[in-house]
Amino acid sequence: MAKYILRRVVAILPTLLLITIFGFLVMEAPEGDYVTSYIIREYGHGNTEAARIEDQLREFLALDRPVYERFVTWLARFAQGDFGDSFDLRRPVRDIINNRIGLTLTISLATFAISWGIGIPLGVYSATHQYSKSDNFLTTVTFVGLGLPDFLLALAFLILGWQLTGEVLTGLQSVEFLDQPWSLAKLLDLLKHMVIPVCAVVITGTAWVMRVMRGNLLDQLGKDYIVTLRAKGVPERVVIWKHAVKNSLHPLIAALGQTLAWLINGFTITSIVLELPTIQTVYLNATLQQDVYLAGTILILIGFLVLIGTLLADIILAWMDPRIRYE
Amino acid sequence: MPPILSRISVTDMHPNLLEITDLRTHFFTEQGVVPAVDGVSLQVKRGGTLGVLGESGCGKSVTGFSILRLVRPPGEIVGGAIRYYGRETVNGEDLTALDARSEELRQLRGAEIAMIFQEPMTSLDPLFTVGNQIMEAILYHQDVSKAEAGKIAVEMLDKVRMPQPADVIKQYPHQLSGGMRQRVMIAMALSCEPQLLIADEPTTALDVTTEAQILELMRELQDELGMAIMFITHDLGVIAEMAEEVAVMYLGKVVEQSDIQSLFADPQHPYTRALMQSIPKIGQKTDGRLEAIRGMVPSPRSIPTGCPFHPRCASFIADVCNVRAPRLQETKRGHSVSCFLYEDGGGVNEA
Amino acid sequence: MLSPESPLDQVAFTDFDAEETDVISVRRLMWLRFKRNRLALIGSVVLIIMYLAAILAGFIGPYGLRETHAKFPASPPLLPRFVDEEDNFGFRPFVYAMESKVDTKTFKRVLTPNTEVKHYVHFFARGTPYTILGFIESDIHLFHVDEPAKVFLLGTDKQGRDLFSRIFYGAQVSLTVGLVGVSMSLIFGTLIGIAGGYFGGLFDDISQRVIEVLISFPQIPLWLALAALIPPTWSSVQRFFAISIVLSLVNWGGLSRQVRGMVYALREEDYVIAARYASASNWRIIVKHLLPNTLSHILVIATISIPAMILGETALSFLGLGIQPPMTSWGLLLNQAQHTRVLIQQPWLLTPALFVVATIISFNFLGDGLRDAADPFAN
Repeated sequence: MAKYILRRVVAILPTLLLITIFGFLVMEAPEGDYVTSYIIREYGHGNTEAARIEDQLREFLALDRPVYERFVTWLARFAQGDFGDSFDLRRPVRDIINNRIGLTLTISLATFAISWGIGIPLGVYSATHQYSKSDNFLTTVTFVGLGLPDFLLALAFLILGWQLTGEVLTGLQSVEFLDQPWSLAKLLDLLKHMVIPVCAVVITGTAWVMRVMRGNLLDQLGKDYIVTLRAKGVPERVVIWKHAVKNSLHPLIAALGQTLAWLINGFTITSIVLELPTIQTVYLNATLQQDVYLAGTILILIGFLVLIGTLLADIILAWMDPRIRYE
Repeated sequence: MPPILSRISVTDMHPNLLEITDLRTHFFTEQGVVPAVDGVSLQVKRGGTLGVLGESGCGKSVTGFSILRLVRPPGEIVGGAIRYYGRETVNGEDLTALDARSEELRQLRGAEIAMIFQEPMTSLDPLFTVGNQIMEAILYHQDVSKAEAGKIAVEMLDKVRMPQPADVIKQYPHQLSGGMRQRVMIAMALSCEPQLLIADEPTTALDVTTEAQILELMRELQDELGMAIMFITHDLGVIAEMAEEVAVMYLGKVVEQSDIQSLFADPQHPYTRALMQSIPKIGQKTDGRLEAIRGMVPSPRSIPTGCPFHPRCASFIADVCNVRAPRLQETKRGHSVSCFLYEDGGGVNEA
Repeated sequence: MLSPESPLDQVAFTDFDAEETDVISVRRLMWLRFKRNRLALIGSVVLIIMYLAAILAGFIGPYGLRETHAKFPASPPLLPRFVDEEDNFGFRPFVYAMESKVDTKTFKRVLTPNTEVKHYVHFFARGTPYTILGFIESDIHLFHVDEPAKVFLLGTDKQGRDLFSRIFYGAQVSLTVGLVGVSMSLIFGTLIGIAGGYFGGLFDDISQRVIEVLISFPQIPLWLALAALIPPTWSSVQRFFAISIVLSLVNWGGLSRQVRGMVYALREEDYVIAARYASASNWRIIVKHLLPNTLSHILVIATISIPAMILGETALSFLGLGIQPPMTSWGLLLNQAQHTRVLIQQPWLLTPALFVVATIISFNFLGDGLRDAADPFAN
């Protein structure tokens, strides 16, 4: 087992480097750089001064150095946990991410827990009652749920919420609580604001988990070993929950790899629409402004999380499935 | 003799352990109704071995599954009775009257009637150890602790000649060979000392040497435990080796039934005869090709009218065989056949 | 009783071979299975209507793509009515011309109907000229009202453009971007998948590695990053294709992997081995055996991946990174609804979302039906 883990860890190292290079290049590739877009923006605001300090600005931000040189310096500092400064927000990238990671994870963990918590039992129910009325109903609902993009749902909920309560529930905190210390009222206010994003994202998520669970469980229920279990007089409840469900968790666990990254980048567009103070919102703005270090760091962070998630999923699978463990 | 059995005196007991009468199991598929089992009657004697012989798709496995009520939708038992004269019930219990999910039936499965299957490779749950799966069978039927169940499991593995049973118990199915897995299946099936073992082509997926070992093992265990076996196979050689009574099935019906000697000495149904001719015999020179049965088994969705075998029959009688269905009739003591060639007043005029 | 060696053995019998039993061609079996899936049929009907509507956009919408109604910016839907001010009911739909004025106190635009004249809705009437498929010119519209009356079934945007008409022009882009994107990833993915699966070796290893990274990487940040690379100076059409490429770049890996899996399995099939022993060339084996046998599956996989592409385009355009004016798409139409304050005052701006959702669900239904049908021997 330890050997298996070690082998997997070594295998992801080259991919890790690939992702950092890719992340850096993507941010470098657009025509013009941060200074160009900064000047255009300042121009739009009626500031013609900016154009005159163009070269100075570029030198100050070290943008006049060749790409590879900047990559190496950046990577060396990156490895030490210094992610550089955001050009746009004039603050260390690290602080920006630290500030937002808490709220990002609060929402994403909540939606993750709810959609798996509902999706798995419903999927099992659906599969064990195949072709019944309730199964047909659930399957249709799943289809509709999968067709509803979360950001459009969020918009619809926003209108609905406004019509019901007269409040526009964007952001995660009402203005009056913004600078307040934590209190019960502030917590309730946060929960109130979480309803729309969580509901919007949970619907698609649950539908997905349900569909995967139903499909796999149906596959498993058709297998020979299920007949053996029934033939030896194991109660149906045990046949399903101990044996069939455990066997059908495989693809869901494999998907955990993506889930870890999803925790900080899922529902990007919903975040933007609802003006949530999450990492996703920062990422989009940084991409649009060519704020290299900020966008690059987040992109690489996502890549890291994908790899770590995949590694974790592999380890869980090996722990669950002897066929992988003894490979 | 197992301890419980000794409590009931032999005279109280019904001579048959299992009586199937006019069983009909149909599959209601989207393309139509498939009468996989269509009026089958069979008896398994206490401690005896009934062989069920037939080509794939003749309904022999479905018959086995019907006994344990393991037929899943769209399959359904639509008629007939399966009477089981087990340990407790002297008068027999109709298994078709029980709810397939009932607790009564669950207690019967594995404990009274056990089953082993064709594919040892896929018949075990890959995620649990062999020991865990054998113990599961024991723990759901016997009032023993986990440790005791573990001990029984090792004993059972030892009984099926598994080398190093104490180690095998900690292994996973994928670490064992096909023959080993079938031994595990047998150990599991016999762990509760059932009265009846339904063996659904248990050696088909194995190589010949392993097959011989497994068959020998089954015979020995039968002698030791006194259980009855219903042996389902398509293999005449295996039937000859295992069975005392044989039922030959074709397209959901029993076409011939007899004791083993009579069947081989005097096969009567044209289908049985054709089956026997299609086997090469050692030391017997034939000129030219080996006999094969003409045509193919028809799709069970469009079973021929009259006698189901008539399109392939070498003794086909026009306007008789394709019009009416023959009945199973005794032609001599202990030997029945379902064919117009033997039916009294069957409207057949000798040419 | 007849002896077993009866002379009846010689009786001639009818031929009872296979034709007597139900032999159906695989294609027919697929169609039968597909037809039974009611949701898949509904999905296909909806999609056929959608695509027809997109082609006939000019005819269905009463106004042109870029036609602005300066006096009606951000107007709520102006619907035809059947009941007039005096509560008289008539079967001919009509509208009242609206007078648009800005309230001097609130600075809000107020519409007041002029109830003197009923402007009846004319069907198949002449209006703004348009072209269908780029070569059929016409000016006949499904329905039309005479000026100064207006009919905005779904309201207008802030430039006073009729949303109903624009939705069908948007459909032209939104419904094709998925097809173009899927075709591109289909070609690329299938080639690499077949090559990798058939030849194996180093090529397979490398392509598998790349795909692994690609498919494990979350789509949206990648889309955003790649879409941000498209030079802003590109024309609307160039941008359309660039977006399709971005979508397919992220998408081809999964498709390729599935094709490879199938080829891998087929490679061991008897008829492929037989073909190889018959010294058929690799090319011949691929074209004659592997492609036809994987084709139905490839098409199914393609259909299943279209919704993700449509969603991708919608998301990118919605954020302003996708399609640019003068073209429009559902995502771009929704772009105006991005700002909460705007949306709450003009909720009708969200209606393109209904079209997106209907399309995605229909494609999901269709894909599911096709997948079941493509495997006619399952169950």
